[in-house]
Amino acid sequence: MTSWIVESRILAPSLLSFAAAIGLHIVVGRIWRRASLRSVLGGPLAAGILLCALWLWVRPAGDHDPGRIAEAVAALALYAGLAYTVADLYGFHRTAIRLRALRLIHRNGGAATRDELLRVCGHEATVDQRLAQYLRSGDLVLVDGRYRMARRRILHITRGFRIARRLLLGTRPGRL
Amino acid sequence: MSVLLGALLPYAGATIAVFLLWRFLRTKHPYVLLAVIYLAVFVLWHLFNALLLGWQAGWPHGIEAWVATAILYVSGVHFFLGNYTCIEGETPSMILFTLIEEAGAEGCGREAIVRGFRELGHVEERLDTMQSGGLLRREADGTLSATRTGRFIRWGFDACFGLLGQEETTDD
Repeated sequence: MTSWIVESRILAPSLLSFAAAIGLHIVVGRIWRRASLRSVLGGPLAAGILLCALWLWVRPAGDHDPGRIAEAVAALALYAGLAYTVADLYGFHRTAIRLRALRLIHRNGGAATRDELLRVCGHEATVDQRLAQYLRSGDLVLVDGRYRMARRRILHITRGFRIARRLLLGTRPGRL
Repeated sequence: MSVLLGALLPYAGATIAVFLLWRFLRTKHPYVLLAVIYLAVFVLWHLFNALLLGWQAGWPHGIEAWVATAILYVSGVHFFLGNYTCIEGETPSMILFTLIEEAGAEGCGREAIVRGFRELGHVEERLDTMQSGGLLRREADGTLSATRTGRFIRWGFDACFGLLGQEETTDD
């Protein structure tokens, strides 16, 4: 095991840095329970990238190997892939309609009517949840009762997905 | 280099194949089909690579390289599948941002946003998709209950949230 950790050029740096980032995430999340998702998840994952890069930098073996840069890029790409997977599963699905519906059914003892589901997971609840979330994160601002984008980043992401939709689907589904 | 090439070249090939196939074949929420295409291209790519190039160029050497290649490729596929709903413009966040963007500089009121969601029938469609996708089933009394898969998914997510130390309802 120890020799594998020392000799491994891709898996050990990325997997162990990822494990360290998840460990840091758990510790930060338990100590600082009211922290935002960005702090509690983004911070440790960013620290993991630094750890992975540091590992690759100080590792003595293969200093003169011409493939070292490619292996370092592969290890960092692997770390980024794992980090994205966790961020996506943990962050983006946390407020998902599907998950909220499944939780409501669970809390109700195994069944719920469609009306109950629409009341808890319906349009107004979904909109209010997202508006509150993006106001807190600073992506939206509320001025005179109207919501506006506060950051150009969100505008660029929205336009980027619209371009991808035009390229892939060739249409503008519905009114979007 | 073999790990990067072994993952990125078939990934690029599969993505181009999806773009070409979608000229003729277009279905809503085609996640299983997309996963099958990406898996098939990965397998075919390495099969042809082995047969034509004799396991030389772009071929991962050793178990560690193969595991790294597979993880990298699956992460890429997950990235594409995860963002496909955004490309379709059907995640609540994308609908919200698009409605606000279309409203222009003066912004968009809450009622207009709720009306936009209602016109799209987004939530009803999600519930229908959950039924057709095997997460929910309709009982004899008309109520909806979770299938075994639905229960497992909820349990899995909540177990992860619990392990990672955050409340299930905490918003960012």
